[in-house]
Amino acid sequence: MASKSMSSPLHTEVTFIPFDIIEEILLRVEAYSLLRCKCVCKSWHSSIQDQAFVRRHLNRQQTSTLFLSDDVLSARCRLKIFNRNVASHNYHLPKEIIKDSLLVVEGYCWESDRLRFAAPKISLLRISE
Amino acid sequence: MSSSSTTTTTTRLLMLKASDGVTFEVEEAVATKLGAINNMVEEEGSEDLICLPNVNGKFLGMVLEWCKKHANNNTNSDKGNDEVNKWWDKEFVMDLDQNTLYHLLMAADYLSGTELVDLLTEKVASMIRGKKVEEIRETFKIKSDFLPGQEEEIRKKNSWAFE
Repeated sequence: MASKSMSSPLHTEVTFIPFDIIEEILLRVEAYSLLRCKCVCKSWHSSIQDQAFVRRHLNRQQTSTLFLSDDVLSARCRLKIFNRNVASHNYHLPKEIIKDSLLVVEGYCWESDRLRFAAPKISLLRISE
Repeated sequence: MSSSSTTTTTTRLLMLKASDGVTFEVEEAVATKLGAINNMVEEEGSEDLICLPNVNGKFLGMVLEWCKKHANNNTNSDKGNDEVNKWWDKEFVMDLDQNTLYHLLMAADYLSGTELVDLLTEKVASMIRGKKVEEIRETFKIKSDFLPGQEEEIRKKNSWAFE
């Protein structure tokens, strides 16, 4: 298939990966490992903290359920999540979850109005009281 | 410089030239799976020789191998194609060493081979899963640039992730 004319030395070492590609890679890493990735370097840390990034990560999840770590279930957090309108509008919660009134969040949490990655502890919660 | 082939099969051939002078003759339908090539073909019309100064022959060859496989599989109109592609993709990335993976990813990105970039980033992501911070740094050749104490602080906040 190839007609070789000359061969140049190949690079032998992994070098700089452009940051937009790093982000694409990190988007494919589950929340659990991402928390560890925060410690790699400053740029990874700030990227993983970034709200737009967390939302993109959340939106990639195809599971029909969302998960919430139970250690951040403060009253405030509960309020935020249980307010269906806010949640569905801001965070694109799948409609069926809201309809079924079952909310399960894994690896994400809301804290002080920010969406963050969190421990993947699973809790099942009934929205309807 | 127009092609003189007037046979009944209308497959047009493009010549792709890599940074090291290695050339590849590829069917247009195969090469245009790459967004960058597709744009060049559309913009420049009859140009048959496309120079790609940012891609080495070795990696261009691998990218084109991938394109060819997918183009061929997609011409068979069976529903099993997705399965075939998936199986073949798995094989394609299975034994890639880190260096090859990196250069292939750069080549695919430069050539706007979206699906291939997808496949390769997924592969790299799988190399991060379950790894220690030090191992990830080693994989990506990253040096920690945190100030003393900063890293410990972050580790403490996410302590469960390090258990």
